[in-house]
Parts: sequence; structure tokens; C-alpha cells
Amino acid sequence: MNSNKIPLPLLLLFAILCASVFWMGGTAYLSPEKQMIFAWLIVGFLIVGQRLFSFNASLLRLILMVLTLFLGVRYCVFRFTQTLSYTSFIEFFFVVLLFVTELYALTIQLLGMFVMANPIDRPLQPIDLDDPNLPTVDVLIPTYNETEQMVAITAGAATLMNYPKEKLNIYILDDGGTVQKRTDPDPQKAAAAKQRHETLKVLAEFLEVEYRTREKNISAKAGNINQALYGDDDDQPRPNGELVLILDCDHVPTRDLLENTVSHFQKDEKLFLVQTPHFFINPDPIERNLGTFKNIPGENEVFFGAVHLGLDFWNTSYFCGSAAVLKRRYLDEAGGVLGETITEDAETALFLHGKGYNSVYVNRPMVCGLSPETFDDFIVQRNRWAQGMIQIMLLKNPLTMKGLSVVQKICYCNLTIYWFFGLARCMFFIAPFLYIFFGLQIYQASLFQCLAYPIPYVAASMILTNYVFGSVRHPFFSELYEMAQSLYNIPAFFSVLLRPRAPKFKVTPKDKSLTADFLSPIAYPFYFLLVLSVAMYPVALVRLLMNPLAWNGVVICLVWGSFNFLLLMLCLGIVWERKQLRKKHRIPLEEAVTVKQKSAGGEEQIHAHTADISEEGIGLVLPPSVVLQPGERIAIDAEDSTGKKYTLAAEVLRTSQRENEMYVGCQFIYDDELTFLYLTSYIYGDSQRWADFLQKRRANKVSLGQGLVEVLSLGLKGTYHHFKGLSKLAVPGLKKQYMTGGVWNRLRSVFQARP
Amino acid sequence: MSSESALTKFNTPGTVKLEGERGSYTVSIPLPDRWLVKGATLRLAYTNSTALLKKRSRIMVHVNGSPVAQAALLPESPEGIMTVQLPARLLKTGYNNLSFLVSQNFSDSGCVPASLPEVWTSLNLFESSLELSYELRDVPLSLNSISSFLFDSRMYTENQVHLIVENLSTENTKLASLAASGVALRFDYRPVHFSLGRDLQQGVDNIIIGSSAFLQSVLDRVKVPMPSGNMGILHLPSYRENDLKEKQTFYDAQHGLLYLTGQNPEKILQAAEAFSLLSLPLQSKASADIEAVAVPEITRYSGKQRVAPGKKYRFRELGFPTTSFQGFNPGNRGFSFSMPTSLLLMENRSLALSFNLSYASNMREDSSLKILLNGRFVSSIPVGDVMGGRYQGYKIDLPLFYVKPGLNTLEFHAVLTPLHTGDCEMLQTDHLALTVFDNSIMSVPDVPHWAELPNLEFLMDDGFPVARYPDFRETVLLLTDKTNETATAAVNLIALLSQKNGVPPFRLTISDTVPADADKELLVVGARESLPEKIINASQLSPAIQFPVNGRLAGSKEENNWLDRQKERFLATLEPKQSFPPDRAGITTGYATSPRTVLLTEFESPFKAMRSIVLFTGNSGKDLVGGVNALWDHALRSKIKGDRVLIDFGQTEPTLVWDKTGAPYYSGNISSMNWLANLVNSYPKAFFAIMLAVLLLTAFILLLFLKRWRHKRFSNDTKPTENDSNAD
Repeated sequence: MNSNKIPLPLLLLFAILCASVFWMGGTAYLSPEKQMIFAWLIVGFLIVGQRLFSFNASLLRLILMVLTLFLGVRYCVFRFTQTLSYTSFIEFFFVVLLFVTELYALTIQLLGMFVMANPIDRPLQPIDLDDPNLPTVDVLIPTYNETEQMVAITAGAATLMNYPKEKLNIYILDDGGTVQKRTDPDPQKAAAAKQRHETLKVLAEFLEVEYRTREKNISAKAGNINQALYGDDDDQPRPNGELVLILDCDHVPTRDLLENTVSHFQKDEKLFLVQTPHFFINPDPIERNLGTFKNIPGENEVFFGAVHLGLDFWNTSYFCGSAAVLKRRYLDEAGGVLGETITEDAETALFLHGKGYNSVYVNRPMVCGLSPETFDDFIVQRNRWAQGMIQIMLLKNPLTMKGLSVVQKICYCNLTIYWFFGLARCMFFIAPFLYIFFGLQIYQASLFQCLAYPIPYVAASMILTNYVFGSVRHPFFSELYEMAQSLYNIPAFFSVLLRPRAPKFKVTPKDKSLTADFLSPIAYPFYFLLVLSVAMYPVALVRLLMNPLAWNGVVICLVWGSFNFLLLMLCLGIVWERKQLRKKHRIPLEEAVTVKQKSAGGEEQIHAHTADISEEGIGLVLPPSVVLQPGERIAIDAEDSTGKKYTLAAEVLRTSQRENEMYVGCQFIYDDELTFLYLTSYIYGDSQRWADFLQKRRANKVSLGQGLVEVLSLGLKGTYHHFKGLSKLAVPGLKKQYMTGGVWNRLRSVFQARP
Repeated sequence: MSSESALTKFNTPGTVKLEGERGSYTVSIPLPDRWLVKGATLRLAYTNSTALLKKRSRIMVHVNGSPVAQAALLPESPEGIMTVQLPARLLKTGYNNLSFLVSQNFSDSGCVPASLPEVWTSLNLFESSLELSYELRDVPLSLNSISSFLFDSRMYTENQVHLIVENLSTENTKLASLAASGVALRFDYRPVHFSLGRDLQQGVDNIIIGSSAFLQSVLDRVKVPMPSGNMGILHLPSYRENDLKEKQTFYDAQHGLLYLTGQNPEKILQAAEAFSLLSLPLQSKASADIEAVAVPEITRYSGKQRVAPGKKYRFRELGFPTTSFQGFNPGNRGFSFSMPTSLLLMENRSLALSFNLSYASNMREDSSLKILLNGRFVSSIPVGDVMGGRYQGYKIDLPLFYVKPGLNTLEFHAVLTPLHTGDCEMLQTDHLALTVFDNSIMSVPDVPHWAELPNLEFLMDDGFPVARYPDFRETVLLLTDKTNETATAAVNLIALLSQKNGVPPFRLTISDTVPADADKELLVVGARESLPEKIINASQLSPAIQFPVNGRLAGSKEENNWLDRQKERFLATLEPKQSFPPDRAGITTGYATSPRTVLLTEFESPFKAMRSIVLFTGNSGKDLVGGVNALWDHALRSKIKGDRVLIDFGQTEPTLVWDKTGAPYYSGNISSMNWLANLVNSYPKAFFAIMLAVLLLTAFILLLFLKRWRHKRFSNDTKPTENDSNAD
């Protein structure tokens, strides 16, 4: 149906009528029995509706949203009208606190629905590389303390991008080799900075890119970029391209990054930003410690794989600090990258959106970056985001900001207040304890009412969430990520609330190598919660025995507390940091290659496929009949999705026989400096490879039931590994055979010894 | 005069079992001032254990503590009947303790273990009776005798009062209703039958209500001079034809004649209101001029034992004084409160009790204070600290679904056990003591008014919905015919409802036509033929109503549906199903009552949604009077349920059948859109269907808006695809 053929007033009239009936139906009192039937009918419809309306995904999404929202409104009205009663000051305090928390959750859900009302996936629009009118592009690679190798790969990959060389200028912006750093009072630091400075200068010269540094380290990354763009403390020419591509130092671009983004600027004069997703080559600590990297979508995929698509529809795709192309003219209007908050990227985007300029999101992974390796680094990063977004809310207030459209205000509002989740999650965690341990009835609803109001609403929300985000976020993983962060998020939250201008930019440490399993130094709060959770069960039993009338409340709190306990078990798995010996992350990859092996009769060609790949080497899967010896040199013929052919020299490190195949681990042979660029082009140059990797992971969508089993299994495993590791730390002499497997083996030997 | 009453009439259970070495049970026998008791005969039926030792087992009867008879408990003849002449001198005005005591032994040693099951005697109070012979004392001619002598709740026999009005105008019917309610309230919970006429009636107390001229005319007929004042009391004049012919005035001094009069209607109303409201205990004159009457502010929660939501009550305000429980078996004490039937007793709210109590030392650890709500155990407080103790604010929350709409009884039963309880050991129980203080608090949760109707049980509990406000301010009494019998029935009905809710019908409107103001509850009284067509069609008399036939399809068993079972599981209680499941047979037919039956029904008013009509009808006015007299019987009233009750008073004992066939509707104030709440709860399936359709339409309209936005945003761009990669 062509919606433009329907007169707008008529559409508005219908909308008002529907909204009125929605509101009346949402607020009308129903007896608990009828409410229960109605609510579960809607939940049933949500399930059946996914099949009935599968012919129109947009309509289906809206149907699921509207039905869920309706249940949410009914639940909220029920909570407000039937469950908030004053009993005592302390009880009522928590009653109100919990209710406000729930209202927050509902608001976030509502805003989330708005953002996700119609996510869009733009088709790739490659430019004509022969077009003489292509804009000039400056590629800025700010770096602070990252390794020179990392800078080399990123800068090297940037030089390989498909774009006319005369229109491409690449700048390494080194904040680790500033004059301030080089003259550090600590001679060791000063020497390291000098060495870095010299190394990167040589690297820049080799790559034929520009190297820039500055006097002082002021205003972190934003200051570094702005100094490069507008500084006047040296005589070097400033970047003056029409477009600016900003790449974090660990974000290695693929060859088609500019090819697929610049065209948007040619079509829309008012476009200030083209943002692309951040693809991470390594598991974040949660993925690594729970072992979910290969099969379960990563944490950032919700944002880059779904939310940003929704934001783009509302012209609110915003600058995420890297992998983004900005129009220099508009950036100049902002005075460069803004730095009042520590999320300078979002702040800059907010300003330019407020000026009436547009943004675009191209949903194609065209940079390959690194996640933080340890849980505390992860928390540092997330707290920075949280503080920065709250700073934006407090200092910039999108809701009152002039120039933003209403929908942009709503989207930015969602992006900022989302970061209050830590408080909400903590409140949801302690709520059942307040009743079990202290008898505070802060949720005044009977079990029957729970079955009629909150439970169907939660069920509907889960169905909706799994429909909208299922391919990029497995069920209950949002709760897990929030739970894991929330305890650490709260101090950061309050500090920024009390002193909005105080937070300082903290660089997220990356590319660490973890040589052994260890307990995260910030794990201890989880033990406190663990003790509370375990104690909850006997205390609940005692409460039940002492006051059988209280069984209703006890059951509700036990179910609630048990779900929290499950999340806590997952958190215990997360804070037990697993070792990460490999210096370079291997990307799981299955591509056909031809292995050339020298033999007595000449050269033998073997058809094989890759298993994984990294800057250092490649894993190959060959037929079992092939004989390769460690130390043997081979050549690998490969081809990427664009048809570009590569011949890679490698040395066999190890071989292992598996079922009907042989796995061969090889190390690339770097003959000269150009090999490094050649390999960079092969490994990082093809964006289709990252797209395929994500697509494969996203294909593992699971149902809610499967998701529950999945997190339960992960929780049990994580807790087991946690305490197994702890026991090893506590009793250094405890060997593996004394752990469960070993015990069983010993027992088995005893049984077998019996006549 | 004499009266014989079963002992169960004195608020006792049917049987009482006395166990152990000694036991007793006391019946409280009320005797009003008006009765001069000449003699009393007790017939006590009992059954004793055959294990008792004849020579050491006795049953004794005490009156106010004085032994009047005893008999051996015979093992060879375990079923005994004891007939005892109770000395009249021992029976005093007020409440008399008639006690039955047993001493029971089964061995010569005299040692009876406390828990021996063979040692018992059962009193069969159903079969026991008390016959009183009495004379009526002369009525004192003072106004204070109205409540203390004439209309006394201790008069447990049939009470009858004759009301005399000039005509059956609505104004006079209102005055008669006020006076009748005043009488009914003085009788507290005792039945009292009212008759209505224009002349005096001999042998019963009479009340004349009307103008001075009308009073004069009535008194003239019996040659009684016009008394002074607009409210007063006289002895009942005789109006036997012979007496009148001889122009002599005779008086029946054992019955009273009250008059409520005035020079104008306002004054008459003032007198009637004063009569309905005031006890006048200090007024020893025979008459008074009522200058003004101040009626107290009546709220929804005014009236007998009624509690208000969101309020806290000390126990003393609920009629429970500081009470000590002493000894081994101190019995139950408690109080009653009436939870307005219009309240929504929400599952997640609780009736909070906060106890202040102290208990004695040296009690065993299994001692406790049991709390019973409506006779069912609901909670207990441990009082077993051997050092004794005191609780200040011991909290117990009783979920509201334990409480029933209407009258509830909260009782406390102290189970006090001494530390030493060995068999044949000196058992000291005097130290067993527990006191519940009257400053303990009962907090009623704040719940809204919202009730599913029709439900005649509510009507019989506290008059809801016609007595939604106890002074009937939102009610119109519609008399569909102008016969004396219809008016009599209506007056009785109003008096009965007033007695239930404890407030006279000060603001009742009486009409003989359907009122223009439809936003009222309607109490319709009239013979079947006189009922307005619109009311008949809306009622269960409509031929369109389907009647469930009292029988199931052969072989089918009643089943609770899934929801009922879950509710039973989660709520622990399940109200009996009042609707008829679909496997019951039903017929659709017209409906008519037969003679000596009346029909009481309730249904939603056709004039205004969420308002009710309570219809009381029969074939004739005579049937209406017979029906309402039957309704005064508490036992019969307690059987009323559903929305349609057919009372058959043509038999020795009136009987009734009830059913529930009317469409449900709701009444109350639960949101800003009560009409909507009524609609969606009355027609839930339609609501579900409409809402689902609207929600789908909403989604579709949102889609159209999004498409417009999309068209606007991407008109100059390559069209992006809608991201449905997340969909299944």
C-alpha cells in the first residue's frame, strides 16, 4: 500500500483513535483472572503472529512492539494503581525505588522500540574510482600507547585502500611520541617515547604517509586530532582534504572502506558523517572467559548490527570515534572534534546533528579492531562510555538542544539514559533479598497477579527482543552484560553525576597477552553477592516455615532471585580470566586455498581450506593422506572475494591428525618489508571476510528456551571453572588429577581393580 | 404467655463435647425487662461415654452460678434427657448464665488423665430447649422505655409492631420506613414484623405517624384525649366495639402506643428522624416536643461494625476491650467487623494486625495465641517463653482473600499449657494467663470499591448496592402499586436492610413512578402485574433469559476449569462456582411466580449502566408481605446467594431456591473510567477481540507513518532495504 496516497489528516485521525483506544484498553481495570487470560492470549499471539505476519517483517516487528507495549502499559498501570501502598517508611522507600526502576526499564524499552521501529540496511554504493571529481580524503590515525606494529598494520592497510593516491593523505598522529613524552622526567619513559617517535617516523617514511606529533598531550584523542587539523605549533602542512577518515590505531581498514563510503557525500550535500561498524577480531573478556566467541554474537553486535541501523532510519547515526568518514567543512564548523565530554565522538555528532546536517550508517564491517583483553580493561572502557554519555545528557541535554529534530532528541535520549542501567540492574538484583532477608514487602503482588501481569509482560518482552535482536544477541546475554558491568558502573555513574566535568579520558588498554588463568582483580563484589544468593535459599525456607502465609512472596522472590543467581554464576565465569597465549589473534576462517608442496617430482598442488588466520600464520586443513613435516616450507595460493590472488610463503610449525583430515599450523615467512603489506592486504583487506564471519555467527539464532539452556550451561561451566581455578590458587599442590576428571579416573581404577 | 426455644437459638453450636475430669459450657439466656418470668423449664439432652464410672460422674445445671439440678451420668444408659424446673427467682432481667457442668471419672482413684478419649459427655443443644412462662409487665409511660423496654434486643420471641399512617403516600411510606428502621435497629439483630394500617391494632405495640389532625382522629376513635408533644408514649387504648359504645376508654397497659406527629410535614419528619435515631435514656417524660434533630454525617462507612479502607482501628473501637485469657481452656474471645461488600478484596493486600499482649511465665513452649478468622485458623503467636513476655506491635498480615465481604469474626483462642502436666499430678493452671490489650491495632488496607454484581448475598450482608450509602441517599424505593400490602412489604424490607447496615434510611427517596433521575439504585417492590415493562424486560423475568435446570447431563461430573484450578492452587481458596457450567441443561421460557412465593432478584438497571435494580415481587401484595416476613428469618436469609431467589413461604418452614443467570456487571469506583472497566469486565471476549484488532490496526498505521518518513528521508537516495535479517 502506498502510504502517501492516504491523506495525512486521515492517517492522523486514525492514529489518534487507535491511540485513544490503546490508552483506554491499557488502563481499563480487568479482574486478575481475565487479565491473566488476556495477557497470555497476547503472548500466544506474539508466538503465532511471527508465522502469520512473516510475509511483512516491518509490520510484524511493529505488531510485536505494539502488543508488548500494551502489556507493558497494563502492567505499569497495575503496579501504580494496585501495588503501591504505604506500610512503613523504609518499605515504602524501596517500593517507590523499585517502581521507579521499573518505569525506567519501561521507558528504555519504549525508546528502544522507537529506535528499532524500522532499521534499515543500506546497499553498498561503491564510487567510481576513475571519477576525477572524487573528494580528497585525509586519513587520521591517532595513536597513544599502542605498539608500533599495530600502527604499522593500520597505516599500511590504509595505504592499500582503493582510492586515488593523489587524493588520499594518511596521517599517523602520535601522542605517544610528543615532546612532553620525550622529555618525561623518567628517563626510561623518555627513552621509550623517543624510540617510538623515531620508529614511527621511519615507518611513515616507508609507507609514504605523514607523521605528526605535538608538544603536549592535551585533551586526549580529540586534542590529538584537532592539533593535527588546526594546530600551529610546527611548520608542517595541515590536512586539508574535503573528507576526514578517522581510524583508531587498532582499527585496520579493508581496501573498500573509502570506496563504499565516499559516494554518500557525493549524493547528499548536507551529509557530515558516514559511520561504519567496528568489527573485532578477538573475543572480549566475557566472550573469551565464557568461550562464546565462535558461536554467539559479540556484545557490540547489537549496537553495530541492529541499533545503529535503527538510528540511521531516524537520521541519528552518530560518530563512534573510528571507522567513520566526516566532512571536513562541517567538522570545521564544530571547531574540530569536540572535547567537553569524554565521548568526544558522540558529542561532535550531536552538535552537527543539531546544526541540521545528516548522517549515514553503512552496515559493512570495514575495519578490524581489538576488544579489551581483560575484564577490568573492559570495565574501564564501558565506564568511559557510560560517563561520557551521561555527561552528554547533563551538559548538552539532547532533549532541550536546539536544532535537533524530535526523533533525534528521542534517539539521543535513549542513547544517554540507557547508561543508567547499572542502577536498575542492582535494584533488580537486591529486590528479592530485601524480602527474603528483611521481610520488606517491596513488591506487593500475589503470585496469581504476577502470573497475570509481570510474567506475561516479561515473556512478551523477551519474545520481542529475541525477534528484533535475536541474530545479534542471544537471549539473556543483555542481562548478563549489564549485570557484569553494573556493580562497577555505579561509582562511575555517581561520580559523573556529582561532578559532570570531572571525568578524564582513559585509553582502553588492548592487545594484551594473558599468560595464565587468574582472578580478575575487581571480582570481589561478586563473592558478596554469591554469599547472599546462596544464603537466600535456607533463609527463604525458614521464612516459609515460620510464616506459611508468606509462601506467595517467598516463591516470587525465589524465582526472581534464582534468575539473578544464574546471572551471577555467569559473572563468576567472566571474572575468572582465561589465559590468552597467542600474541596475535587468529580469526576462524574457512576459505579454499591451494597448497603447493615441493616434492621429488617437482611441485605438488593440494586442495585445502583454511581453518584460521592471523598476522603471524595460518591454519590449514588438508586431506589426511598429505605428508607435511614441521619446518617444511610451502606456498599457499589464495583468493579473496574480490578475485585478488595471493601466493603466501609459509613454514609448517606443527601438524595434527584429526578425523579424516589433517590440521597444519603454519607461520608466514616475511621475506622483506613489502611482504608485510602483501600479507596485510590479504588478511585485512577483504571486508567480505568480516561480513561472512559475522553472518555465520548471526546464523546461530536460538529460541528463548535454547537460550535459557545455553546460559544455564555457560553459568554452570563458568562457576565450575572459577572455583576450580580458585582452588588451584588456594592449594598450589593440587594437581589436575584431583579435580573432578582425575577423581573419577582414580575411582574407576579402584572399581576396575575389584575382582 | 410462654415461649419454648431450642437452645441453639441462644447463639450456641448444635453439640458441645465436654471432655476430661471436669468440663462446663455456659449458655447466655437473655431476659428483657418487659417479661416477668413466672417459671422456666429446661429440657437438656445429652449423651455420655459408656466408660464413665456411674457413682463418680455427674452432670449439673447451674443458673447464674447456683446449682439447680444434677444427675448421674449413666454408662448403661448413655443417652439422657434432663428436665429441670428452673426457679424463677434465679432468673434476672438481662443476660443469665445457664451452665452445664460435668465431673467425669472412670476409675475409683479419681485420677483422670487430661487427654483420655473415653472421658466425655456431649450436650445435644439442638434437641435441648428452654420453655419460659412469663407475663408482660406494664409499659412505663416514659420515653426512655422505648429502647430499654419496648424494643429490646433481648426479646428473642416473635416481635411485631403496627404502624399507623393516614394514607399510603410516598411521604407517609418514607415516615413509616424511618420509624420501622428505628424499631428494627433497637431490636439489633432480632426479627420484627411490621404491619401498616390506618387504625390501631390490638395486642401489639403501635406507632402512629402523621399530622396532629390525623393523630387526633385516630385517638378520637378510641376516646383518648390528644396528648402533648410531637413524640410520646401512651398505653394502647382498646377499641373494642362494646367499649366504644359505652364511651369508656380502656387501656392495654402491657402494650404501648407511640406517636410521632407535628403540625407540618417537616415537624413530622423531625419526629420520625428523632425516633429512628435517638435512645433518649434520660427522658423520663411520656412526651416531648422535638425542636430540632441533628443527624450525624453519614459516610459510606457509617453503620454497624463497618470498617473503612485505609483506616486503622484499635481493638477497643471494634468492641474488644482489654481481655485476659486465664486457665487451661479459657475459650475464644474476639470481635466482629463488617468489610463493606462493595470493596474489591485484592489478593495482594493484607489486613494487618498489630498485637500488644503480655503473657505469664512458667508456660510450656507450645503455648500460643491462635487467631481465627470466621472460625478458621489463620495464624498464631507463640507465647512459650518460660520467663513470660510481652509483645508490643507483633505484626500479622492476613491476606485479604481470607476476609469475606460483609461480616467477619476475628477470634483469639489462647492455648495455654502449664509446664507440669503429668498424669494424676497436681495440675496448677491458675498461673496460665495472657492478656490482649485493647490498644492493639487492626489496619484495613486501602482498596477501591469495585464489586461484581448481581449478588444478592451482598444485599443480605450489608444492603449493598441499595444501601451503598447506609442512609440510602443513592436509592429510590419504587412502589409499583399502591396497596397496603405492597407498602407493608417495602417498609419491612427497608427496616430489614437498615437493621443490617445500622443506619436509618434518612435520605431514601420513595416514588411510585420510575424516577427521572436514572442515576440511582432502584429497589422495586410490587406485584407482578404492576411492574413496568422496561424493568421486566431487563430482569430475570424476561422471557429472553435462559433458565438453568437443576440437573446435569447424565453422567457428567462437575469440573473446575484450568483457571479455577490454578486459582485454587495459588490462592488456597476458591469461591464456590455460582454460574452454571455449559453441560447443564437450560430452558428459555417466561417466568411467573405462584401464590405464596415471592421472587427477589437483582440486575443491572436498564436506565443507567452500573446501577442496580433489586426487585421484590410476587403474585399479589399478600404474597409480598408473606415473603418479607419470611425474609426476617436469619436462617433463611443466610441461604440467599446468586441473583435470583425464589422464597416459598407456603410450607411450615419457609424455603428458598437460588440461582445465578443474570449478566454480570460491575459497580464501584476503580478508575477514572469506571464505565469502561464495567464494560470490559462484563464483555471480556468482546474486549479481547476489539483490543487485538485495534492493536493490529495501530501497528499498521504506525507502518504507514514509517513508510511516509522513509519516503521523505530517502526520496533522493538509493532506497535502503528494511533490515529483516533478524527475523526468523
